[in-house]
Amino acid sequence: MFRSRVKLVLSRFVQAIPTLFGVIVVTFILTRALPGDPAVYFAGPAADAKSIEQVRVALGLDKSLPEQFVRYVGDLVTGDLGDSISTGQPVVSDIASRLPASLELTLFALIISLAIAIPLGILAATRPGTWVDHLCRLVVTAGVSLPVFFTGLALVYVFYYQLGISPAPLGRLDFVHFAPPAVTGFFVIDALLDTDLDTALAALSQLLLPAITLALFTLAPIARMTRAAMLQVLSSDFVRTARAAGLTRSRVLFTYAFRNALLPVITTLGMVFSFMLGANVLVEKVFAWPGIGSYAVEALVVSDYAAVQGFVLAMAVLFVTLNTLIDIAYTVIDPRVGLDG
Amino acid sequence: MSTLLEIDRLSVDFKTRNGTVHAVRDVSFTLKKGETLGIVGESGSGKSVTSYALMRILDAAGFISGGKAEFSGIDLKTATERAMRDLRGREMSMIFQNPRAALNPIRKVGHQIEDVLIQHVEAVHADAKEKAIDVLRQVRINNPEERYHSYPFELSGGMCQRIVIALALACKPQLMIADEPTTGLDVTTQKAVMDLVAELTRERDMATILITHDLGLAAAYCQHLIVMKDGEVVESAPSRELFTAPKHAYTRKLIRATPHGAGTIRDLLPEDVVRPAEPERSKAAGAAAPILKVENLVKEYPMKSKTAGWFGKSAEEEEVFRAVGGISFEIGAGESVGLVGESGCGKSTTSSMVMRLLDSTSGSIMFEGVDIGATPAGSFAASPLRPRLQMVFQDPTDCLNPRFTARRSISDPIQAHGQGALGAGNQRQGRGARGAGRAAGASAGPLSAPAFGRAEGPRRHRAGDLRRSGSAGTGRADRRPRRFGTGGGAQPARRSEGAAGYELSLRIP
Repeated sequence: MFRSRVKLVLSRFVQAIPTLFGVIVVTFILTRALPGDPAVYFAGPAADAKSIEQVRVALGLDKSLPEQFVRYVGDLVTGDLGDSISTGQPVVSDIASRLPASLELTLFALIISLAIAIPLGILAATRPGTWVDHLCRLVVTAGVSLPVFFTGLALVYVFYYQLGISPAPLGRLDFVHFAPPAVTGFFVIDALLDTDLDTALAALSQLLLPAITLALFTLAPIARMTRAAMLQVLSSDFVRTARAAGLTRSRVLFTYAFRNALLPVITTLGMVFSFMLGANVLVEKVFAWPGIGSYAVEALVVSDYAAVQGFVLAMAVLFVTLNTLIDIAYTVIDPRVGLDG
Repeated sequence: MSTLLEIDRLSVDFKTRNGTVHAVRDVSFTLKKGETLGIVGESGSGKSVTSYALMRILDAAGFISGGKAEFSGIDLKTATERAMRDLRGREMSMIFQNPRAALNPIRKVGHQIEDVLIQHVEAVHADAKEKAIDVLRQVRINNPEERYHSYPFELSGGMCQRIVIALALACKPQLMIADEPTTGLDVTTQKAVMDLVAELTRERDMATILITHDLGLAAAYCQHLIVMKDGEVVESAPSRELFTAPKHAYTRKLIRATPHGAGTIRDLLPEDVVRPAEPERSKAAGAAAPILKVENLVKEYPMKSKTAGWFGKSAEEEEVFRAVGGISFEIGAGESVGLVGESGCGKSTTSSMVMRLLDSTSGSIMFEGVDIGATPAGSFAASPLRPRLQMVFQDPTDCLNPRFTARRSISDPIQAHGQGALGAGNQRQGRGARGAGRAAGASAGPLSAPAFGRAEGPRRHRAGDLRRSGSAGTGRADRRPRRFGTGGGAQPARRSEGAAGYELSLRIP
């Protein structure tokens, strides 16, 4: 049983490889299909036809598409994603500095969101029709109906401008503190590793408002799914058996009901997470967060091939990893997975 | 012997959106140690609700509204939730129908038994496993050490029921309530399970309440029987007396419905209706060509070997699972043929192939001289023969679209087959719906399907002949399946398709 589980987990990883290759092909073609000529852009406004042609050759854009692709894959293998035309930096280092910023924001928001949504969903399911249930419905509705940039601005207005509790919404750290030595790329964790409590708190206070903004938005699907799944499981036969066997309420609720309800919740979680990573551009803009979303948008506007390609690739790798992790979580929780299909 | 359980004029109500529903009214009985009591009635009669009320595991909307219920001196009505929790599983326990669903699907059965043992301080963590295996052994499970690590989906229905029994008996309670313990199990397994329950309860001198729709089963295992209908007790008598001298009309009907050698499906009709004439049997049945002729029908499924993955191109031969291995039979006009067997024996597969819902591996299916086996199952829906072969499935609530009204369920296929040249179509549809409505009206108890009425086992599904057009219940045509009683309401809706002129209908009990 256990060995077949391990085998299943490994095979999930193996299955992810063709997906990744497909992603590489698609991103390559997609970015080539973008309108605009990067050679013209890169050569500058004063360039003549000859210098544009020089730039084109320098960028390798004069080669045929298959040839460009082979070179591209070859560069990928050596970890070279090319240089960004707009920032002048290697794309790899750009992504390495910006992706952790986005991840830190997204993960922290997700933790806040889970910490509220799951208890709320469970409470609402165990007491349908009571004030908790109505509160849950209210939060869910408010969460989805308020746009992120609005809640973000409202939070900044109240907590920074009016109350002055929050620091200025200008990135990951104020100018007083220096970025901690990079280990994970997450400022709060890195500062703690560096035993620099002051910086850690500063980073956390910068993180709080954008994370709450994102969390408010993602609360809704998680709370709703938790409530629905719990309601369904609580009315199932095996919960009745557990009750008839005299098990305590908490045991019935968590060991029996919640673990079964987790499966749909995890699926939702995966969807929400991928969605957040892509969609937190707005939050990044509002809070001047140097994340990967704003980086990608800027790159796209100026037809910065290498940067866009790097972004899409990084996201794809992230998504594939995420999906694999969710699959694995499934196999860990549910013994039925993988044996019948 | 001392009285263990005393129920006096117990009533249970449910608060619903449409007002209060009286699910159980004035039910009284007593039970002594070691006694067995059978509660018999159709779904919706309140027999399960009575037992849930005793265990106090009713839904949030249900509550005991009157009467007295005492279990060895403890008032079950007023006992605290904490006291009830100690009673449940330890002093009184319950086994359920549909054993597979009654177990937590993602928890090892051994751990589920441990949960109960530890809860009631029959075991501590150190010796829980040993004791759980011992409990498994007591319910005659082979290889209890291995089975301890099984999940419910890895076990057969009968095994799952043994696990449920093990759960119920783990703490040696004084009272066991068995709610339809054999429904959904094969006939052979049914007997084994009932014998096991009877033996274990006799050994421990436990009191038992057997809740069932099956009067024969109840009579075989119980000393005393209570017959319930619409939430009330209509008759209460010792088993023998109830059979030899039934007083209530409903009891007589139940007795007639109990299968016996010379019984026919027509025994299930209510007493007070005018019976339609018996369908005529064609005398020259032997001479005419058979309507259906099945020859050497085979269905094989390739079995994926688990090891053959991306790398390990193991040279294992592809194994084949033979679901149906060369079946031949004929059905003539006016004949009915029974396919009998345990679950998994291939009877459903055979009928699915005959009905062209599934492709056969080899063999021929001749319907009125046409080889319908040659038409792939995927495209048979477009065949003009499609309306002429029809099937009635088990579990009526599941096989009807829950979003469709009875009218729509019945009218859709009629229109699809282009017979809905308006006049005829509407007439048929109305007739079918009235038939369905009538049956729904007849069987809809105070609590219909959602919480308490599961399919009540194969026997009850033989709904009566609905070809007569009923008078009552015309308005029910627009009700959705969920609201029909499962006993006979939803099923006839399909059956009436057969009544609308199809020639062959196979039934899978």
